[in-house]
Amino acid sequence: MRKPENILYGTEDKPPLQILLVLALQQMSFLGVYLVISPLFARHLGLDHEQSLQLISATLLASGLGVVLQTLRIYGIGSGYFCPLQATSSTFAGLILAKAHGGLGAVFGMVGVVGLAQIGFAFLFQRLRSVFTVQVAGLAVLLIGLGLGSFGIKLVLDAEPAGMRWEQQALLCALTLGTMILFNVWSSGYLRLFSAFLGLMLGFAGSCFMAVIPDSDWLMFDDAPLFYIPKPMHTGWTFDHHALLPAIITGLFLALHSFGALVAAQRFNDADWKRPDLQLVKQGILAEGLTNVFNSFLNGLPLTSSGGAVSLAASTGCTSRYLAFALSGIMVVMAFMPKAIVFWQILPLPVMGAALIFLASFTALSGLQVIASRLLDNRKTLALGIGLILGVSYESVQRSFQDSSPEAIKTLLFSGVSLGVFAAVVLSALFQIRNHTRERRSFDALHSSLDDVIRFLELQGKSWGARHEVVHRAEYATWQAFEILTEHGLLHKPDGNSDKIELETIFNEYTFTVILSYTGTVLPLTTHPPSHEAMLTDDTAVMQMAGYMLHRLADQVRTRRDGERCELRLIFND
Amino acid sequence: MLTISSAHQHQGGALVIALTGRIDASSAKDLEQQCLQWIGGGETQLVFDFSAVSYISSAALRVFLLVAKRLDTVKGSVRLCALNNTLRDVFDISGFSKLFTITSTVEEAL
Repeated sequence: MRKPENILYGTEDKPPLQILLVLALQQMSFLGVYLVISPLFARHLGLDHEQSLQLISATLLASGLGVVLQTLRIYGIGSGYFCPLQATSSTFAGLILAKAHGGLGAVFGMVGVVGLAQIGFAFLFQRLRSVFTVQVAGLAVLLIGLGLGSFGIKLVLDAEPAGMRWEQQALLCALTLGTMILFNVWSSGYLRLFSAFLGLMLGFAGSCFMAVIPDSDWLMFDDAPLFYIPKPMHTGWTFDHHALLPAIITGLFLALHSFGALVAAQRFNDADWKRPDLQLVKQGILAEGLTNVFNSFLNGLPLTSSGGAVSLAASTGCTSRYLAFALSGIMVVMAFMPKAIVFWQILPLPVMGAALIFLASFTALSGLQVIASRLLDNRKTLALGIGLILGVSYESVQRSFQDSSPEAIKTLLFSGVSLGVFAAVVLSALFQIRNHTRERRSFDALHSSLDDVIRFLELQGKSWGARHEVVHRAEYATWQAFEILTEHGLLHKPDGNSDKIELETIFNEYTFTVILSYTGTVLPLTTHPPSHEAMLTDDTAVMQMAGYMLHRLADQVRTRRDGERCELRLIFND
Repeated sequence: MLTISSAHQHQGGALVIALTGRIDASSAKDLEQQCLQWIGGGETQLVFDFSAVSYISSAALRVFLLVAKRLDTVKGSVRLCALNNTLRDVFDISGFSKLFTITSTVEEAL
């Protein structure tokens, strides 16, 4: 794993303590917006102010545990990456269904079942390598970015900040986003590390200066006590069988969402990233599932990996695991400080919206790069295209289903990311039907052209979803082999007419193999090139050079002879 | 299929040879013949523009080696320009990139 150039402190690096604390505060300032979700949910359930605070504290305590569990990577649990957890309003539909049938206790019972379902799906995902492909991973990252950006725009434009004029909203957004861009693009070192935090602080200062924070918000802030003791299990815990199916569906979509965030974390931390490490994805989802099981006993809200927090870490250049410990500490301390909790709730929405737009740019483009790095055939284009369209149309789809469908169906519409990834995964699985991993074609050695070979290999590369450069190398090496076989008399003419070369491609997740079968003499391979002198004087040196080049162009080369039949096997790693 | 076109950049200057297509075993023979004609005609500075070349075989590598050797004896030079990544890899792998001055554009080579 090679650290990307834009990352100042990678996963294993330890930033100085002061820097670490400010970076953790920066993360908290971003994740704080998701605390707003807890009072929103509390309002849905008719909880009073005290119960609402307890709900937030319990969620914060579980988040604190989750971020550490995710980073520690012990006993096969946790991805080892900095990938914090957040609450999300997308789980409300399922939770409200649980409450309707079993009361408030059933809500928290359902959170536990959601966690158990996530654990189950973590194991399942690892076995579904053929559908959780690089392209699906890229789609997940792209949708996280688009979702964040869209939510950001919504906060800036559609929010209903009491008494705030549109000019003020635009000014706050420009001030926040402008500050972030300024420090991220035209500065380096510490200022770039803190660019998001500086933007948020300046945005908040601007809000105070423009007096756009309502008096009622300040009053709520003044009234909140500085410290209190949270009471875990404040409501209790029961299980209602009506909540089982929605819990499993919610668990599936939380796991799909985590898949996206964890892949984004892997991609951001490795300059040579090629494909998702599904073992680490499994461990990451396991950590999240266990956190939610623990969370249900604390009586907190279900948590999911935060793609936004992962993007923030990458865009500001610090993805250190030590950041997870500092953030966890802040979350736990905050759980004991109602005043701090309320503070994040009064931050004007256009300020937070601007931050989301900033983060979304990095994430969306990263996902796009992952998808664009691969060749796509019609199956993959359709699976990803439909997934992408559903993902970005999430709100419209959700609106249409909101009134007309049963509650259990509503839980399917968990988020744009999970909806899009779900569609792409299901379609990828469906398109496996009659999708051969082996193709064979016979070429007339004397009359076939490079274009024929390229067309055949390109088609296979698209069906496989290979990287462009791997397919180019395969085309090059294959044609070099064709040329040597025909030009140097290595082919026999068993039918006395024309020579045939059978070209077979085999692909799996990691390699692209091209096998040339023919009747004749084995192509000589060598690990050393011929001397320059030999190239000019010895006729066989050109063939030796070709054999040497094949050795170097392919990752593995093997020859085999069975009677008159010869085989040249070129293996390319993806 | 290989197309070869050449033009002098200025009086007595380098001969810029634009290659288009693929340099495989059969087209390498034509290229060799053409190059030897230029050298025989007194050309001592050859600049090959690879920007439109998609493939080069080991047989073609031999031609460039031959041209370099011939020009070396008359204190001439061969420059290769605008190779794509795969072609550059081939020259690197074969060890031929050490024998030639390789530039990213024709202008750089002149």
